[in-house]
Amino acid sequence: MSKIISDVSERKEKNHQIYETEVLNKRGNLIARKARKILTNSYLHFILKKIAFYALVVFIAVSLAFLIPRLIPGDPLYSIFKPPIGGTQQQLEQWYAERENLRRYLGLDRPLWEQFLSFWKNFFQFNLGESFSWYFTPVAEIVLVFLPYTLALVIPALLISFFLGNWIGARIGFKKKKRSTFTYYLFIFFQSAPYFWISLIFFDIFILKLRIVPFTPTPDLILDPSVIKILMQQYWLPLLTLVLTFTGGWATGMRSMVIYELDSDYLLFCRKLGFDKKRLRKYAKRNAILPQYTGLNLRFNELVGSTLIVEWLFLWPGLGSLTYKAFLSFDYPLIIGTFIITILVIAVGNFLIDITYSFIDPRIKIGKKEG
Amino acid sequence: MNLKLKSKDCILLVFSIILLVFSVIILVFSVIILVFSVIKYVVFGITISRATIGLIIIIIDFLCVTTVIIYFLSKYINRCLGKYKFWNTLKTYRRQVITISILFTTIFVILILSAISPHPLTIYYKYIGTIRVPDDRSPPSLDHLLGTNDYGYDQLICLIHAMKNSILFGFFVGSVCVAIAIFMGVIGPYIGGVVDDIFSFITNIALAFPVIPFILLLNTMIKVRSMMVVAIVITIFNWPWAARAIRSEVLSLKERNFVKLAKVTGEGKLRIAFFEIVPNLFSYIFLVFIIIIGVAIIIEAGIAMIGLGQQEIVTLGVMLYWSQTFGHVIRNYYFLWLPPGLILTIFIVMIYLVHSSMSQIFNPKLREK
Repeated sequence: MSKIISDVSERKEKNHQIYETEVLNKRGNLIARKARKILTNSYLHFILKKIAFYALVVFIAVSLAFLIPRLIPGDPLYSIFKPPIGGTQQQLEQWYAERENLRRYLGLDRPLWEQFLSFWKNFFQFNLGESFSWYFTPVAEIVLVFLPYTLALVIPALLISFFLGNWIGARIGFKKKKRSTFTYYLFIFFQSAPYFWISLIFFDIFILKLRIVPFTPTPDLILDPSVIKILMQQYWLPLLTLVLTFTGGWATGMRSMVIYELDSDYLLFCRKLGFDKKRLRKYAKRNAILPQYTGLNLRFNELVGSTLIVEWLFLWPGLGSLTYKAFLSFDYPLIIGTFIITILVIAVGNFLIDITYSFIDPRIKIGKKEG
Repeated sequence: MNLKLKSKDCILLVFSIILLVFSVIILVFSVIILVFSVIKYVVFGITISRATIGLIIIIIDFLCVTTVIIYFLSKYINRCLGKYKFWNTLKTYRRQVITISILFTTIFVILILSAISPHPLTIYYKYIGTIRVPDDRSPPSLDHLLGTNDYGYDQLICLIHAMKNSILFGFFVGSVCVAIAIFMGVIGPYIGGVVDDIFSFITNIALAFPVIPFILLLNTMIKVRSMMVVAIVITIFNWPWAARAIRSEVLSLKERNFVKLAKVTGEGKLRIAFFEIVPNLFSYIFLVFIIIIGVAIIIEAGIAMIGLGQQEIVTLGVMLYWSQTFGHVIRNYYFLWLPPGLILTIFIVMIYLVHSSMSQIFNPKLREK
């Protein structure tokens, strides 16, 4: 009996071992298969390629920002630390010694490649140097205070102008009426009117004539209702200029795309089948939005650049105003710091736009089909 | 004699008509100038200036050249179409002719006006009692149609010169950009292999590059506020998208039969690229050129307006910079800050209309029915 029992228990154990090893193997296979699936996913490859590409763009841009002030003829220290006017020989010598000290402190006496390596080391530690005009506070701290204001303009302006412009453009292109041609020419005006001049007009109308927007320096961001009220009042005017000018571009582009799309065979077929206009417009819009979306990268670059200028015109405390202040006080680390942050913003934005292209065009997601 | 119209013929036709309109307008203009100068000489005793005489010589030259060109063009077109079809095609391309002739005549009129008018930085004076002071910020009057500046410059003369400088700037940047774009876009796919990869990689990187922040950085670093620096920087960043567009066109043209035939006859690669493919791209290149002119003018004005651009010569951006720094908006001087932006807007609208109407010729699908 005991033998039988022990036999049974042994067999059970053996079975259990076999079972365990098999299942574990299976699980291992599963993990391996999953890993292979992820590694062979073409969408992932696409993302990795894009990351490498934008990393290269950032590398080139940042190294250019490093090289430009150093390769331009002339002493970079001259504008910061000027010689005493009408000083004696002794004073001049003292000034010279102090300047050499400053040069050693800033590391400008070392060879170029060493400076370059230390620059990149600092960049990965997010140490962008110390500002001259802001009492030697780290540049990264200053820039991070100003960055949210710029992002608060750029992101809503991009989204609103893209969706609104495409919606209007699809409507204008679909109907051939007098009203739609009128709106078309109106949007041509908005598209080609320079944003800096439109901002002057808005400044005149809303701030000086109607007095809707208070003309005061923008307060610091504190969670206080009165401060937030003033901030919101000053916020919508630059946003409106950006949205209007960029909506014009999207609307006119979308109109021509929809007109192009209306001649295609599938829409003619749908029309013969008797689909209603709403559905036809939906189909036309869905196909016409693809080339529009590829133009989003270029538009985003333009938008960031124009935001820098519009900010300065409306005294909105973003990166543009910061660049201008830094320029006025010859604050080179601050200029380069703001430039690097702007480049990072543009690179990340472009990367996100490239990735999300697959949500609109399912043909990009080949990896899912292969499964 | 029932040939179909090709896009090349269309361009010739449109340009011949534009030249016609042009020459008529210039004739009227030169007659007006002559009459005015004669009246000046008779009534006020002012002698005709050297600039006016030079201008009249230029106009006569231009008229001679245009008549010769129009003669040969009309011969060519009549051979292609027959006499009666000329006017029919003119009717169908009415919009294109009108927009382009308006654009080119305005450019030409501005060039003429800037040649006639005095230097933009001449200061006008007024007398308070017996003291002579600059006549600054005077409202519009018969002497100064758009008033005067803070420095005492005449606003209208400044505007004319600014417009001329902006347009010349746009043409310079546009031509250089188009040259680079043709080089990168045609040679790359034509030679193929590694060269194509490198060229398309360079264009892709330049396309993702932030334009305006980089120009701001360069202009803050380089303390020389010269026109050439700004022009070069703007050209460096404006060719990539044009190169990409031209590249895609070349890739589709490459598979056509006439290119294959040229290959069979044993022509060299570069010869095929520049003598077979580029002439077929002229319509496309023209559109790209027109767009780049507008973009370059706007970017230059935007940078100049915040004071980081060039400050050598008067452009529209520099005028807006004046109105910004002297607070014309706050002080309610409409005649000083409205016109530069309005003229800039009108010019860009004209460029856009020319672009859209020309693209209707080249791309028949876009035509409205």
